[in-house]
Order: sequence, then structure tokens, then C-alpha cells
Amino acid sequence: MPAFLNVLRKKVFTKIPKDPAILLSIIVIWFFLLLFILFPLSKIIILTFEKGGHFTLSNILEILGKRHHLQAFWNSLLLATLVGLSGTVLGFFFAFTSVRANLSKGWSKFLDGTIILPLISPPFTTAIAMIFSFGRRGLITYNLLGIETFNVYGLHSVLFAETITFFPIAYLTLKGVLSGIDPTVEDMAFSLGSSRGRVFKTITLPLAIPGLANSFLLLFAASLADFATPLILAGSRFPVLPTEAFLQITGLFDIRGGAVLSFLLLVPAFSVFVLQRYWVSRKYYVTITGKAGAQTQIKSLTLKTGKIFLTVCILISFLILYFYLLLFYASIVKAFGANYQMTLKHYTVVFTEGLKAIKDTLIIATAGMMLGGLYGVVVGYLISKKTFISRSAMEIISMVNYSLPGTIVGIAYLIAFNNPPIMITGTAIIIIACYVFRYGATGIRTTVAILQQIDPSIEEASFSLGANAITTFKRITIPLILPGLFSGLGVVFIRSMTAISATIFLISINWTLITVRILDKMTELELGVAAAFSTLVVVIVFIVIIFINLFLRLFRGPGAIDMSNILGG
Amino acid sequence: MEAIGIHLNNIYKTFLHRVKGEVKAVNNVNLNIEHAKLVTLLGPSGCGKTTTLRMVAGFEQPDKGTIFLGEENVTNLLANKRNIGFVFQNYALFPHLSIYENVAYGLKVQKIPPQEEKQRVNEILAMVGLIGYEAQFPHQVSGGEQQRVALARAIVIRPKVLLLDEPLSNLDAKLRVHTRSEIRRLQQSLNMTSIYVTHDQEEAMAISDRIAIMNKGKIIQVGTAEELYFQPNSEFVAKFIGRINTLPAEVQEVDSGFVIVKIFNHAYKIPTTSDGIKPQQKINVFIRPEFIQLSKKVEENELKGIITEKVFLGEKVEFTVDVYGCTLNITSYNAVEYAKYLLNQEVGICLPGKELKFFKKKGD
Repeated sequence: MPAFLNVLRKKVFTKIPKDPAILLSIIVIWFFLLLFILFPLSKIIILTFEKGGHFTLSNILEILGKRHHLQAFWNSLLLATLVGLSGTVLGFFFAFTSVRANLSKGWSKFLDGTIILPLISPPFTTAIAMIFSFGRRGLITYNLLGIETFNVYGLHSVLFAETITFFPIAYLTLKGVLSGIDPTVEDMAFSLGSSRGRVFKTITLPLAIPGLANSFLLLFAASLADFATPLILAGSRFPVLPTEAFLQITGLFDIRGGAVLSFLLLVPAFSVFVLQRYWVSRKYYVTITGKAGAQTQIKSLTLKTGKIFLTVCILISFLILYFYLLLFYASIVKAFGANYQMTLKHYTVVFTEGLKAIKDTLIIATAGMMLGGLYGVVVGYLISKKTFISRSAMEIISMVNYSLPGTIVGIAYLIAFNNPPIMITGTAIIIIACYVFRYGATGIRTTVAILQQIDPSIEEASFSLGANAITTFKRITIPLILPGLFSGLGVVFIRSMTAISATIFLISINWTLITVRILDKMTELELGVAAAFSTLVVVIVFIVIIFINLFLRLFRGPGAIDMSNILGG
Repeated sequence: MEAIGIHLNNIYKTFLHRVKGEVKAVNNVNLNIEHAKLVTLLGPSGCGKTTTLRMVAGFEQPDKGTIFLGEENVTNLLANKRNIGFVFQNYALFPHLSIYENVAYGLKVQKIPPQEEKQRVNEILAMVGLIGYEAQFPHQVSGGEQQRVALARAIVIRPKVLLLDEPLSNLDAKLRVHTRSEIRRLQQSLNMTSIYVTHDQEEAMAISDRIAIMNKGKIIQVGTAEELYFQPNSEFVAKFIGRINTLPAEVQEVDSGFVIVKIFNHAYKIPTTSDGIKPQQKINVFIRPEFIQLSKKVEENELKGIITEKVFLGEKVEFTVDVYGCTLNITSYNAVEYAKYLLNQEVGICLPGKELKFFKKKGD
């Protein structure tokens, strides 16, 4: 056989799986990836660059020609950059305090617990609380300080709200990075005569730089994609791309315009995706080498500085807690800002008029969780345990919908599935599919993370004992990943409960969602009902988390990983 | 159970390495193992021994060549159809199953009736001394016990052949010696044809019927421990099994049945066939440390050296001797006599000609 044929044979044919079950799953997964990820995305691109059957840039130029839209593009980038910076700084401050200030267990838990709140809340939560606090009749600006002219709408408020909402991502990322820096490395610098400040500047900070860059990109992407906060807080003078795209479609019924605007959003979002994946993730330093020595007393901060840092962190945590209490308070008074008489009437609305939305949301979130979990496990298993010819392509494409802003995904689904051959607009299927292929990615990540901890020889042992691939998967792999998988499922459920940016384009009279109802109530200025809905979502999510934690405590398997690891982007 | 032979014919396996490109992990390996024998694949790390074993197991597919288990060509058979027992270096116990369930796993896959399953598991657990551990989980027992669970799990299915991939490398030294004789005992009493992979020459010598020395994807020599030690076919084998000294020499005379070489101006007659070498050729000659004798008085026809290091180890004494800038290791088991030699003492060095060896090729 000629040499090149031999190489070809090795590269291609040996990578086609022999096991029919594996081969079939790969084919089925690819079918779904093509249908629910690549096909909708291609529709946006086609709609952006096509007019009358020809390639054209005129659509883009037309949109960018409008001052308002061009402004939205720059505003989006400006906001994302600012949120990336401020969130990273705040996250680093929290992470550094948590890892290097010798916190007691109680405080450590308190910080972790509070910080997780914004990650699991419905959208608008911070935004509503901001309006309650700093609006024209706000608790702080009006009642406390007596200011009547404070304008709560604009860049400053969006920046503040998004920083509070997203800095936990930075916190979780950087906490991992900082606790990965072996304190003995810092000890070494101390022993060579460095002061605390110098150790921080020359050792700790440089080692954390890849983590900081990663955190910046994560926050940049999160802010770029955020739809809910700017919709409430940006006001008309600070348009951003996701809200513009939304208004273009729902207000002007200009689907092409919406597609072009979301394409403009796609460019920076995709750049961040690529940067993060191929650059930052490879720059991490490994400082833990050799055998673990004796634990060392961490001495990065003096006792006094540590206490000051902790105090600042606690104050910020209190601010977050205050926002949530305020939300609850607003849901049980007649009219926040005017009439503070206790009432349950908002909840009556929630459980009568809003009952359908609650039911729909629970049904869709449950279905999304189950199917998303299944999808996540199968894809996660394939890409981490099998070598086949399209493996890395599958790995990347399965992450696309998760990485892109929800607005893009929502518009893409709207365009793609509105006409034959696949007409599912207005059904529950389109919302569920959106969740499965967007949040199922968390299931993939969880599965990959767990499987990486399981030695491949465990499966080989099963094969050597006569079991085939399916038996092995059923009896060995699944039980091992079950605990972690369960927490992954919980995340899919929570995300499905709290999502809005993609699904706002996909709801219909037949199927609606709590988050969309919250938005409706906000625009109808029924803020009490909006607060009641939000409180309900927070409560449901909390029940789910408690349930997951109980389950994990009962079945703590070798593969189980922390919830916070999954939520941390 | 019926023991069968294992036959590897012209096996090749290439891996695509990220940096090195194509790596020939296994390069034309041929090996025949008779039934009920234990053969060890011994070699430095990266020599292809584990890859070879994994191909026999069916975890890897050879690029070329055939593998026979007995009369059956299993080259294209999946691992779960080969009826092999495999013991992994890290044991690969199922962490979510109890010791009993771990051992019973293969029987459950075969759908053995519960009654028989129970009996067979108990039988094997008794054999490896794990009665009473059934309900425990892998992480609750010691490393040595985990090792025995792995062994029990592999042999309870009555495999045609038993494959062991460095099964003792995670145990401490004392347990290692004990467990290897356990494995040998089980292998012999159950008549299992076995392949054992290790990089530890002592382990290989202790446990094997025959040893196959591997290097760079090839089998260099196959033989019993004695054959490999006393009649290595190459410099690589000579250096890999036991310790050996290297001395520079020049060939003086080649005759039928002997070769005369000159080492530091002294002539030595080596009773061997010429192996294709010619007079005036510069070669290396080799001799094991225990074949060199020291004398207090330096004879005319002997090399002389200075003792630079002396280590008294009870039953033996080890010396390092400098001979015209060349360092020799010498071991003597006549500890009482040799303990009298002192550091920096000038000594005569006697090299018995029949113990000197040379090789035409390096063997790697």
C-alpha cells in the first residue's frame, strides 16, 4: 500500500468507531447539532448578507448607517469592557480576601452563599431592586436622601447592576486560580526578603494574570449578551445591541434588521469565544508540582488589612442581600414608593392570572432538564472518551449556542423554524430545543469534567470482563457520573427557570414563561406583581438547590463536583 | 480450565504523537508463549511492552500482524469477546461497587446463575484471602487488598489467558515481594497462560518462566532469567539485566573458538566465536562485577587499580576500582576476606577470560 494511503487509513478509517451503538449515537447527535445549532445560525448569516438572492453588505451598511444602531454597537462594547473591568476587580478582591485573608469557616461560607445569589436569580432582579432603591420614588434616593432628581436610567446604572450581577463569575473563576497558587511559592519570596506588597506585585498578581484575563472575557461576554438589565435600566439614551435587536423585531416587525443587529453582536461575542478558548485557557501556570508539603500559614495580608478587606466584602454582600429583601418587601406591599400597606394581592395575581406561566415554565424547564441532561451526558461521553473523526468539531459546535448571546440564538431560532420544512414556532418544542442545545452544554461540561477524573482503565476493566459498550456505559459510566450529572441537571433547570434573552423571541400565546411575565409586568408598571413573580422564581430555585445538595450529600460519589464549579462559567 | 498458547506474529503499532509525529511503539514483534507458562515483557519505559499487552487484550488494534489465542485468530475481535483476564497497574476497581460486586461483575455479564456466581466469587475470595471483605468498597481497603481484588476479579471469569500490566508497582517493597509469589502461585495452580509486564528486572526474574526483553518497540531477546544473565545477546540486554562493567579493548587475534583482545596492554583470551569481528578492531568488552577478582599483590600479567570506594553490605562487599582512568564495579561475596581491602589501596585485578563478553551490535 502506498505510504500516503497508509497514513490516510490511519487518520480516517481507524477513527470510525467499530461499535454500532457508538456510531449510531454520533450520527444522531450530529443530526441534532446541524439542525438546532448550525442551521439556525446559518440563517442569521444568510439573512444578513443576502438580498434578492445575491451576496451584499448593504444590509449591514444600512443598519450601521442609522446613528442609533451604530451608537448601540459602540455602547455594547463600552458597557462590556467596563463591566469586564469592574467585575474582575471586584471578583478578584473577593477571591483574594476569601483565599488569602485566613477567613473563618463561617465568613467564608457566608461570602460564598451570598455571592451565588445573583447567579441563580431571574433576570431583572437587580434591575428591579435598583429602581426600587434609586428610582424617582426610590427607598435610598427619595426616602433616605430626599433626592428627587436622581436619574436611575443610563450607563451608570446598567454598569452597576451588571457588575453586581456578574462579578460572582469572576469571583468563582479567580478563587480557583488563587487557591491553585501554592502558598509556599509566596513563602519562598518572603524568605528571599520581599515585603507583602512586593510578593503580591511580583508573585501573586503575575501568576493570576491568565485568570484575570479569562475572567475579563467571561464578564465581557456576559455583559454583551445581557438583555434584561439594559432593557430596564438603560433608558432610551443608552441603546445596546440586544435590546435594539429585540425592539427591531417586536416593535418594528423587522426580522432582517433584528438579524443584522444580532449579527453585529455575534462578531465581538465570537472573538471572545475564540480568544478564551484558544489563548487564555492555555496560559495558565501550574505552581503545584511534586509532593504536597506541610500546610503553610498564609501570610499575604496582615491581620488588620485582612479584617478591613473582609469588612468591605461583607458590606457588599449586605448590599446584595438588601436587594433581595427589597424585592420580597416590594412583593408584599400595596404599591412600593407610595403605599406601604401589607398585602398578598400581588401573589393572588401570580397564582391566578400567572398560573399558566408558572405551569408552562415548570413543564418546559423539566423537559429541558431531562433532555438537556441526556444530550449532555451522551455528547460529554463521546467527546471525552471516544476518538472519532469529527470529535473536536462536535466539541466546539456543541458549545456554540451556550457561548453566544441569547438574543442571537433566539432570533436564529425564530428565523429558522418559522417556515417549512421545520415549523415549530409557537410550540413548546422550540423553547425546549433552545434550552437543550443552549444549557445542555453545562451537562456536557459537567460530564467531561467528571469523566476526566475517571481513569480510562476502569472502562477497559469492564470490557476485559466481557461487557460490551452499552453494558459498560449503563453499569459503570452512568453510576459513576450520576451525582455530578444530577447537579448538572439542576443547573439546566435553574437556567431554564431564569432565562429570557433567547426565549423572549420564542414564546407564544400557547406557551409563555415566568420571566416573560415579569417583563410584561415591568412594562405595565405593575412592579409589585413583577417582584412577586421574581420572589417565586428565587424560591423555586432555592428549593431545587436544597434538593440537589441533599441528594449530593446522600450519594456523594467519587465523581461529584461542587455546584459552584458548574455555575462558575 | 484448558490452558492455551499465545502467539504474536509480526505485530506493528504506530501512534501519532503530538510532538514526535509517528512513533513506532511496537515494531515487528513476534512472540510465542506456550500454554500455562508465564512470560514477562521487560524493558525501559516507552519500549512498547504495555502497548503489546494492550493489543493482546484488545484495547489497542495492531496496524499489522496477527494475534492468536490458542487456535483462534483474535486480531479483529473486540476486547469483551476475547475471554481474557486483565490486571491493571492502578487496579481500575469500580469505585461504586463493593468488593463482592467488583469480583462478581464479569460473572453477571456472562449471566451466570446467582447460586453459581456466589460460589465462584467466594471460592476466589478465599483463594486471595479476602473472605470477610465482601461488603467493603475499594476505597475502604488497603492498596495490597485492592490489588488482590483486581486479581480476583480478573481470574474469577476463568479467562483463557491472564494479562498483568505492572500489577505491583503501586505496592511498597515488602508487599511487592509477597504478592508476586502469590501471583505466581495462583498462576501455576490454575494453569493460566500469562503475560506479565514490568520494568523491574528482579520482579521479572522472580516470577517468570521466560522473559522477553524489549527496547524501542522490538523484542531483543527471549529466554529464562539464567540465559539472559549469563548469555545476553546484546549490550542492551547485558546492561539491562544485572550490572556489568565496560572496558575498552582492541582485537589482536581471531581464531576458531577464541578471540584474543588487549585491554590496557594486557592480553586476554576469550573462548568464543568471532561474531564477525576483525583484528585491530576497537571494541568494548563486558564483565559482571562478581567475576572480577582482586589480589593484594599485583602480578606481571594483571591489570592494577586503586580502590576508590568500598561499601560493606554484610554478605557482600562492593568496590569501585579505578583502572587507568576506567571505573570498575566489583562485588565479592567472600566478605570476610575482602573486608580486609582498604580504601586507596593498590590492587591486582584478575579478569577471567571466559567471563569476558563482547557484542557485534549494540542491540538497540
